[in-house]
Parts: sequence; structure tokens; C-alpha cells
Amino acid sequence: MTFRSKLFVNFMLALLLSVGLVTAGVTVVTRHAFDEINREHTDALVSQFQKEFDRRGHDVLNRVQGIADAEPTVRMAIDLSRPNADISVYVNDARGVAQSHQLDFLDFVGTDGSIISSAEWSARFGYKMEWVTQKEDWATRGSFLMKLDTQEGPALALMAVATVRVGDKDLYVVGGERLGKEFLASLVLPSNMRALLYLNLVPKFEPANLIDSAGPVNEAERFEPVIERERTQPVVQTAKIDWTFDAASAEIFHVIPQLGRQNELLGVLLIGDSQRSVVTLERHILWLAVGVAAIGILFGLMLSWWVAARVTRPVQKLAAGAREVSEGNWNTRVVVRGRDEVGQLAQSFNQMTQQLVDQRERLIQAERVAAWREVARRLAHELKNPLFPLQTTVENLQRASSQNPEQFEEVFRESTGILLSEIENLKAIVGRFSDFAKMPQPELGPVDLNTIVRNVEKLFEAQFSAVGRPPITPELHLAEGLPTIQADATLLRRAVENLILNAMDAMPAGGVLMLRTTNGDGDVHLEVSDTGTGLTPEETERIFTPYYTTKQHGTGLGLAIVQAIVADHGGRISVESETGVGTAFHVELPTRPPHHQAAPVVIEEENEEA
Amino acid sequence: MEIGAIIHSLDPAVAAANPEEAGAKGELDALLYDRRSENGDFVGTAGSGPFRLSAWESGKSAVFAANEDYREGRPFVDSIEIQMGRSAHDRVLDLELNKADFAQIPAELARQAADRGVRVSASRPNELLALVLLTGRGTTENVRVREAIARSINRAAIVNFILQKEGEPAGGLLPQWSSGTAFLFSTEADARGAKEIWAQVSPSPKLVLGYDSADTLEQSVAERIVVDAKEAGISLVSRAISASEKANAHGGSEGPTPHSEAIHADARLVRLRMPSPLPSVSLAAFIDRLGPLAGINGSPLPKSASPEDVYDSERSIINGGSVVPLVWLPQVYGLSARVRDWKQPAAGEGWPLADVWLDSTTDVH
Amino acid sequence: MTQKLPGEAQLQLTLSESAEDYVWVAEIRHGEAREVVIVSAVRDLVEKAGARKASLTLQRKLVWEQDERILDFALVPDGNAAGASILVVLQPDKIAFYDHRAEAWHLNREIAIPHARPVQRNVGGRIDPQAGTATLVDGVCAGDFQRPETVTCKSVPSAPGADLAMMQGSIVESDAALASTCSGSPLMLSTGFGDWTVRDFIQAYEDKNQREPIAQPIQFPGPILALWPAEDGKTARVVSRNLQTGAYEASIVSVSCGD
Repeated sequence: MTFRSKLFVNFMLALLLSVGLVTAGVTVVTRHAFDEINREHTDALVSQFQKEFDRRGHDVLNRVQGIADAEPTVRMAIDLSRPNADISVYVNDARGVAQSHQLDFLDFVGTDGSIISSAEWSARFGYKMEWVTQKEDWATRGSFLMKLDTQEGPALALMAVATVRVGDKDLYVVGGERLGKEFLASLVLPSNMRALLYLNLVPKFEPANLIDSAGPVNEAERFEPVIERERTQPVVQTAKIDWTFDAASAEIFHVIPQLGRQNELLGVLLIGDSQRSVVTLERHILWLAVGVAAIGILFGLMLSWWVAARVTRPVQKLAAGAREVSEGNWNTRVVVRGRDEVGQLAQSFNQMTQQLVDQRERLIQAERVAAWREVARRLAHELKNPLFPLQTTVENLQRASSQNPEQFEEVFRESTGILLSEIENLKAIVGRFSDFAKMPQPELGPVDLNTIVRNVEKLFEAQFSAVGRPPITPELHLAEGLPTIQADATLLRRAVENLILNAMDAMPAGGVLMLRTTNGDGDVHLEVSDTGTGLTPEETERIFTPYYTTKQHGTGLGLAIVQAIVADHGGRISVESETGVGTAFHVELPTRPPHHQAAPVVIEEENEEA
Repeated sequence: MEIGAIIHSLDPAVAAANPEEAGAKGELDALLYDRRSENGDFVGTAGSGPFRLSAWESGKSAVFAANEDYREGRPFVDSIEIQMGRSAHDRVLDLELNKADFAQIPAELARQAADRGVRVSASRPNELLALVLLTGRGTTENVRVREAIARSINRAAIVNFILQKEGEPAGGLLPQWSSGTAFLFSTEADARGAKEIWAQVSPSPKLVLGYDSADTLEQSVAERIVVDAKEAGISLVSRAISASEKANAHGGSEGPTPHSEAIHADARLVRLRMPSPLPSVSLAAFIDRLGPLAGINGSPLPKSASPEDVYDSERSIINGGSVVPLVWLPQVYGLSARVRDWKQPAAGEGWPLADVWLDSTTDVH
Repeated sequence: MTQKLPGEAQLQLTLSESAEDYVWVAEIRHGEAREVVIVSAVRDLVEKAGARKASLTLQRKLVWEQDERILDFALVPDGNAAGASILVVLQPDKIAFYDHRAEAWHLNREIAIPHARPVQRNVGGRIDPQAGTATLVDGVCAGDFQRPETVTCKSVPSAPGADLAMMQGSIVESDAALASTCSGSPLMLSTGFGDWTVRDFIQAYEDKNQREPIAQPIQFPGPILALWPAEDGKTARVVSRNLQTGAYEASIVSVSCGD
């Protein structure tokens, strides 16, 4: 991964983390805020509903009291207070009165608790309603919930009792409203709320007893746990029901137990608050936040990329420059504007490369000087040999001329022979130098390296087992299917010859000469190794320097020629050696020669896109 | 003789194509027929009686004109116009407003009508309202079930409250004035005994008591019986039987071969009108009617059966437990102030409208 | 009749009557066992089978009602308008005269009755239309009731021990001329035996000694406070109180032949 990518990824991670944290934080805070508002809202509505419920109770009480205060009821009470009063005349009175006062239940009950007239269940006349006559101040009791036996079964009602007293006789007016779907329908609730009522009339949970304004509730079984909790311990509680997997379908119910006169649980009121609007709003906010975050991230992405690009461009340049340097283009400059650390780094880099170049120049110079010195030394050494005899011969001539004129002709003949021989030597030396200097540029063509190696080996076969010298055993390990390379066959042959000659020179006591070719990755390898005396590390470093030789004689140009030929083919030569073991020369030749850039590289700061 | 218009409102259930099917046998037939057979059926031709039918609109109205040639003499009134389909409360209102001269009033409204100033004439009790435990129902074949239900019923409450004291508790199938032995049949309620007997019934069934959907008295009585049964722990509910259900069960009429199986109830209320003051004749008619409903197979009683035979037959039916007499009802009529010479008809007789006349001097306001 | 028999058995003997016969019923109870023996004695069939007894119908016509107490009332011909009637209503503190116009009674005149002492709770009063007097314990109104403008009222000292019998349970003899199908014997109308707090009725008796009712009683919605024969001999004036509404009601009870 590039530095730019890493930087970009880090920017993005930081951005994502920040945005994520902010979004999460906003969501949590928003949810809490909504929950709080929702709770307050619902509490207010529950309180309002409770007031409405109480108001209905007062209303029932007022109506019942109104009936008790009405003249016909008072007259009934007066009539019934007389001995042997005929109560049968009033048996049908309750129905009409109940209808006119819009009560679902109305009973006129005598002082002994006998039902005189019943609106809802007229056939109950004569039977006792004993709870009415129990000691209770009905005037202060107010309205209350009660479980009633009706023709259709038990029912829940909001009841009130009023008393009409005549003498020591009481006439009780017992009236009320049925708590059912009509009652729930009459309650005013906001659109997202609904009221359910569980009529706790039978010992076991009965789904059909859970009603709303339309009648029995669907999926009432879902409420069983809540109801059972209330039946065990009647307390105000809240319960949440998720109708589907969608959170918006959830409904929070405020559960309010409805107790009777003896604090028995008669009903459970559930005020349901649909979470749909809240959840939808939360989702909107969440999606908005996500959208904003996405836009922010996208923007951050672009910005990060641009910033990363801006930040990393100098670094890239520096990296490119370093790459160039590593590839040998030491004359690389990185142009970076800015005076920050990167700019300083670039400056330092440029200084470094400049120094490298200078040093290389100096090194080259030095090497050149050293090489020239070496060449001069070698030349001096090579020339000194023939020059000494020349000098000696000329001195002999002089002497002979001056001292032994009679022997001068013989001495002249002898000396001229030596002079000519040494001049030939000098010519040979000059010729070798001239050869090195006049090495031609390679003429490339498809060449099979294995063929060259085989031919050269054959050439030297006779010398390997020449009389008078210890034998050298050649070993050929030539790779099958070695690809042809673009090379100059003549130069390549010369290089191989020089390597073999060098190896032979390294094995004065004989040994093994191994020639191996292998297929590389885009190149071919030639290894020429011997089991000779080996080289020291110092020798290994200088082995390719022209005129450097470890031999007593020789120009020291052989390996330099090999290096030059290899370099001209775009290859590489290296050596590894161990004294007393042997030496191996490794030549790598590309299958196609590279294109060399000789000009210096300048890595400018361009207007790149981030 | 001025034209007299007597407006009478028949029971709303009567809506037939012709008088023969009117179902008010005895009432309208008495206007049209002259003679009755030994068993009480009207014989002869229609119009041989004191009146002739001059107009008939099924379910709405009928006009009977005086038969000038009636062998016992032309009736005092010129015509009788009858309106049908008026509810009981409307009939009482018509009488209060003097829009009717004569109307049949349900017994339970008699007192209310009298309180409002309506002139009321009530006969001796001649109609029995009974609870019949229908045959063919496994639940009601159980003797204990029958006894528990019978004991739980409070007849006095029905008479005092529902009938407003216009009626008598019934223990037997015949009223005291007819058989002379009605006092031998107990009418007392025994709620505790009923409870104890019902507790021995296992498994205790849920029973259905059917009543005529068009009969408010039957409905009130049925509801009261349900309440009484509930106090005794008996699971009993009431259910209205529609006219069509009754027709399907009875083959279109309250004929002699009703099929109790077609009625979806375990018991039902039945009204039995005495066709004759003679106890043997009435009892025979009751057995005829109750037989297919209650599974009673009594040998036919001769008309001249002795009181002891009548009592034995009656006792055997009551002891069987499938018929529970409840109350005796009188026939109650409301009369306007100008109607004169009204005579309460005896059991089985039609309306004696041939003998009444209208006093135009009566100042009604 | 019930008699204990030897061996813890009990005999109950009843004389009853069926539609046709007299019926002797002997019920013998021995523990849970029960035996019934019935013996009938045939009655006169002519009297019973199919024949109808002549009987009467009582009918009541409400004439006037008001919240104030009514002691008595009377319907007299209107001396100023032929064919019309005047309703005279006697109250503890006044006497009122009403004309009948447009289907209703309208107050014509009322005259206050001065009292020598405070009005008593059990005050009674009676109108005698023919004599033209309305008498109270300590007051009297007199004049031609057919012409109300002639009537005057004054207080009179009450005689010691004088009281007007309230009509509870007493019998008023009424020589009613009945219709041709009825028997010619006089009729007795009588109220029930309840007090001021219960509903009352009027029953007709053929003979004041036999006290056998010959008609269905006519029910009233409250106690009957006064029962007087009317001048025509065929009807009676009845003042009653309606327990449900609390109003005082003036009714005419008449008798007709047949049920």
C-alpha cells in the first residue's frame, strides 16, 4: 500500500470514526430526548384520561342523584315507606328512567335490599341486592367500579348509589354505565393513542375480555403476561409490545389497574401509545444523519484524498527520487516547495544526491586516476621490461662502439636483434591497449549462449590437457531450452574466452572448470567457476578494474574486457570467491538489452491531481 | 239503531288470508257462525251467525256487518270494524283516547289500563301458561332435572309483579273453578330444594328455554324463570322462538302434530286456552296439544269423566314432570264507556258482540 | 277441614266446586304418602252449562283532578246555558264552579269559605246539589249552584261531636235503575278496608247482608276519600287520591249490566 493510500485510509478511518461517533451520539441523544418528550406527553395524556374517567364517574353519580332527587322517585319512596305498600306497581319503572337518563343499569332497591325494579334485568324483581344495604355512606362514596351479573353474563360497570330516605325506610337508586366498547369509544384520545380495557370477570385470562372501542382486540394473547402480572400485583406499570419485527409497530402501554370497592381488581385499563411516529421520526433523523454523514464522508473522502495527495506528493517525489538513485541515477533532484519537514527532507535529499554525484564524480575521477595510475603503472611496468633491455642494448652498443670497436659489429647485430624483439614486445603491448581502447559496439543478433559456450570449450579442450601442465577438467551444465538472447556473438565469445583463460590462470595446479548456463527471469545466467586459488575480498573488489591483475604477467585487461562486453549487452557480472576454494564468475545477460538513460533525472513538483 | 263502530285490535300475530286461518278461533268465528258441535267446533256456513263478513284485509282490518236474518235476532250494532296489528300498548291507548270501543288487553296490562281510567273486564282465569320440558331431549328426560326446575319457579312473583296480580298461580292443569281440585296441586316455590336436587345432577346440563318471540308476557316469564333457576344453581338461558321456527316445528299451524325436535330448545312456554268450562273437555284438549311436545300419552278422557278421573289424569301428567303449570290468565277486555251489556264470555266462547249496544248519551271527555 | 287420624295420619276434607259439580275432596296424609279421594255432587246443569249469569260492570269516569284537596264535587246543569253542566268542587277553604267549554273545564267562579277556627286535618264536606248547599264542619255555602253568582259562603260554629263520617268501609245504598237484563234488586257500592296509604277499590254488592260481590271491583290508584250517591241514583260520586301523582281525583262511578 502506498504512503498516500495509507494516509488516505487513516484519514478516512479517522473521519469515519468521528462521523460515526457523532452520528451515534446524536442518535442516542435524540432518542433520549424523544423518549423524554414522549413520556411527558403520555403522562399528560394518561393524566387527562384519568380525569376524564373520573369525570365520567362524577357524571354517573350526578345522574343517579338526579334520579333520586326527582319527584317520581321521592313519591315512590314515600309510597314504599307505608306499611303493606304494593311494590309491584313500580316493577317496570326503572327501564324508562334509565333510558331517559342514558344509564345502562338502574335498579330501585327497597330498604331490605329487595329489587323493586331493574332496568337491565327486569326479571330480577324481588331478589336481594344485599351489598347495597351494607353499612356505607353512599353520599360520600362517589362512583365506583363493580362487577355485575347480567343476562349476558358478568359485566363491568361504573356505578353510583343514591339514597332516598323516608322515615326509617330507604329507597336505593343504583345506577351506572357499562364499561364496554361504547364507553371506550366515548373517550377522547389523540390519534396515535388507544384505550383497551380488560374485564377481569373470570378466574382465567380470557382473550375475548380484552376490548377496545370496536370490540374484542386482535391478538389479545399478546397481553396475557401483562394482565397476569396485574392480577398478581395490581400496580401501575408500562409494557411494550412489538407487533412485528418492525420497531415502528411497537406500542407502549400504560397499564392502570381498576379496582372495585373492596380493592379487588375488576379491570385493567391499557392506554396504548403507538411508537410509529416516534420511530419514524427517529428513522428520519437517523437517515438524515446517515445522509449527512455519507455526504460528509464523501466530502471527507475527496478532501482526504486531496490532502493526502498534497501531503504525500513531496514524499512520493522523494521516494521516486530515491528510486532513481537506487537505480543508479544519482543525479536526481527533487523539487519540493515548502519549508516544512518534507521540504527540508527534499532539500537534504537533493544535497545528498548532489553529494553522491559529486562523490561519484570524485570516485570516478579517483578511480579514473587510480585506473590511469594503474594503467600508467602497468604501462610503466610493461614498458619497463622491454625498455630496460633496450636501454641495456643501447648502452652495450655505446660501449662497444667506444670500447670495443672491433666487437661493435657483433655487438651491433646482437643488440639490434634484441632491440627488434623488445620493440615487437612494445608493439604487442601497445596493440593490446589499442585493442581495449578500440573495442567495438556490439552488433546484436539472436545468439544461443549454449552454442557459444560449447564452441569455446572445444577450442580450449586441447589446452585443458596440454602436456606439461596439470590437467583441467571441464564440466558443462548447460540448461535445456535456453532462450536466445540479443547479443553480439563475437564479443560474447571473446568474453567467454577471457573468463575461461582467467579460470585456467587461476588453476596452475589443475582443477575443475565448470561452465553452467541457467534460465532466469528475463535473462540468462552463465556461471564460470574454477577450483583455483581464489581471491581475497580486496581482489574481488578490484578484479574488474582495467590493468588490475593478480597475475605476474598479463595486461589485466581480460576481465575488464569481459565487464565492458557484459555492460554493453546490458548485463551484469559479479564474482564470488573464497581463497583456497575457488572463484565463480556470474554473468547475467538480458534476453533483450535495456535502454539506458544517460541524462540526469529531475523530479519536478508537477500539478498532479490529488 | 245508529251505526256502531267497534274497533278491536287483534293480536299482531294474526295475519291470515282469510278468517278461517285467522287463528283466533272462537273470537271471530263466534261472529260468523251460528252453531257449535259437541266438541266445540263451529259448524255451519260462515255468515250464518249474527254477523257477515263484509270486508277483509288480511293483517289490517275487517268489517263485520249485522246479519239482518240472524235467527236469534239482528245484533244491536250495525257493524263491527276490526283493526288488526295494533300492539297491546297501542290498544290501551286507543281505549284511553276512546278510539276503540273494545279491545283485548294482555292480562299484565290490565291494571295499568284500569289506572288510566280504562274500563276493564276480566274473565275467570281460563288460559294456562305452562312450561313444557320437550320430549326427545336427553337433558330434560332426567327426573331430577325436571323436579329441580319445577321447584325453582316462584309463581307468586310472576303473578304479583309480571301480571300485576291479574292471574293466579297454577299448580295443576285446570283452574279451581273448573276442576274444583286445583288446590291439591302445590304452587309453592322451593329454591333450596331445587338447589339440593340440582346438585345431584351430574353432569349438570345447560338448558335452553324457548318462548314466543311475539309474546312479551312469555318473554318476561321466561326471563324470570331463568333468574329463579339461576338462584338454584340451574344453568338455564332463554331464547326467543320465531314464528317461522314455530311454523316449521308445527307444520304451519299449532295443529295436533307439532314436531318438537325442530325447535332448538330444551323447554318452552306454552299457552293453553280452555276450549270449554268442562274440565274433562279442556284436559283432553290439553293432552292432545301437549302430547307430541311433552311425550304425554294419556288415554282420552270422556266428556262425562268424573272429577276423580280428571284429577287422576291431571295428577299423572303433573307427576310426570314434563309439564310445569305456571300461572292462570284471565281474558281481559277493555271497553269504552258507551259499550253496554257486555258479558264476559265463558271459556271457549267467542266475543258476545251480538248482545252489546252503544250508549250514545254517554258523555266522554 | 283437617283431622288427625290414628297412626299419625292426617285427613283434610275440603268442599270445593267445579264448573259442573260440588266436589268433596279428602286428602289423607300419612308421612310422605298421600291419598286423595274425590266425590262429586252434580249441581243444576241448567244453571251451569253454557248459561251466563247476569252480572254487572262497574266503570269509572274521571271528571276532575287537582293538587288541592277535594272534599266533594257535583255536576249540575248550567242554569245559564242549556244542555251544559257546571262542575262544583268543594275544597276546605273554598268552593269553585267550572264551566265546560271546548272539551275542558274552565274556572267560572270561586268563593272563599271563612272559618271560625283553623282548618282541621280531618275536615270533611258534602255538597247537596238539590238543596243547593255545601256543608263543612264549620262553614256552609248556599245558593243556586246552577247559577254560581248566587252562591255565598259563611262560617258557622261547629256542633260539638259533629263529624261527617268518612266513607271508609261504609256502605252507600244506591237505588240504581238497572238495564232490562239485570235484576231489579238494589245495588250496594262499597270501598275496601285499607287506610290512606294504600290503593283502594269499589265493589258492587247485590245485598248488603250477603255481601256477595256481583261485579269485578273497580280499582283506584289511591285511597277513596269520599263516596256519595249521585242525584240520578244510577251513579256515585267518588273522591280519591292518586298515590303516584299525589293529585285529588273526582270520578263518577257508574254501573252497567253485563260483564
